[in-house]
Amino acid sequence: MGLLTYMSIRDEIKARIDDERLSLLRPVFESDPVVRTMVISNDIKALIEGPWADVSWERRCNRLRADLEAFVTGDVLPVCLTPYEADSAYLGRLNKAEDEVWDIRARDPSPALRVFGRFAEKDTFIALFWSPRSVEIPYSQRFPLGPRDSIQWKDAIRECKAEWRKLFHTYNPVHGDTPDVYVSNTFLV
Amino acid sequence: MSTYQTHFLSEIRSGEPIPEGKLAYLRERTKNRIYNYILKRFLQKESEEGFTRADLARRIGRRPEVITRILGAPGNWTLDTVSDLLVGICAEELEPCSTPLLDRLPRNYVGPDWIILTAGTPVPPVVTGSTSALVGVTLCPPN
Repeated sequence: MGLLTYMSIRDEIKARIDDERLSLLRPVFESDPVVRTMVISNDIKALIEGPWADVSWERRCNRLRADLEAFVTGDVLPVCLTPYEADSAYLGRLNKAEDEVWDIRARDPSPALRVFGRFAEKDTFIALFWSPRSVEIPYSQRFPLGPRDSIQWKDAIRECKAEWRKLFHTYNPVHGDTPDVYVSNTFLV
Repeated sequence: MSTYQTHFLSEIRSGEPIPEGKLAYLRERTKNRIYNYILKRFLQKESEEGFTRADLARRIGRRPEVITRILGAPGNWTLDTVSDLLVGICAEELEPCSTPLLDRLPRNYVGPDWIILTAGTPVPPVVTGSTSALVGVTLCPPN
């Protein structure tokens, strides 16, 4: 009888890190607590590690890095599960909720950015790509997302699902009805 | 200390002008830390005493929806906002203190057990122009 090998999504994540398609986001300061896990694509890694085309963009991307590290270091995170109602929340689930596509909303300073991804398990976010929210950014391959239900939003959600499938095949992201299914230490917006 | 942290701290340690990107990173950290602190105080008060956003709004003369927006993200909190929130939430005021950036001791835990970077899997450094980004990896011995 053959030996069955059970692969979990953790094994897949580890394999993607080993083959350098994904990386573990580590805080710059090794003294920072590591409470949650963020695994980033090469797209996100390039964004936050540079090099950057100019100082203004370098400043913006370094701020984003600090915001992503806030997830890792266990900060209280404002979360919204209802599409279109995230407003000022750090993390928002996008429409349709059952697609389980989320964005990390780095609204300040301008230009606002969105980091798209999905949860592999509780407190483990896979950050797949980023997009400018409203202002065109010369260093982005993507157009700003624009108004809700724009083609850019639909494309971003589709791309997130496609990128997930490329990395994790048939494994599904986390699905739930309350924030604690996804992330510890949240503030419901 | 990882090469990345060493690189990040190089100008801070040497006394040279600190690159704007690093200043921006530290500014965002400061903003996030203050926000995290105040949000924790609010959640603690909410949990222990049933203190609500409406209560806070009433105490500091803001509309409840404004409180929701303020608490939802650090945004551009001013020192006035910080002061109002602290006194409104817990009758306290900010007491400034700071900690050195240099020579902080690294923590033992750097990530979940199931993500282990095996020895012999180096990450090559990326150095370009005046904005260099060294990626350092702490290699763990194999099990």
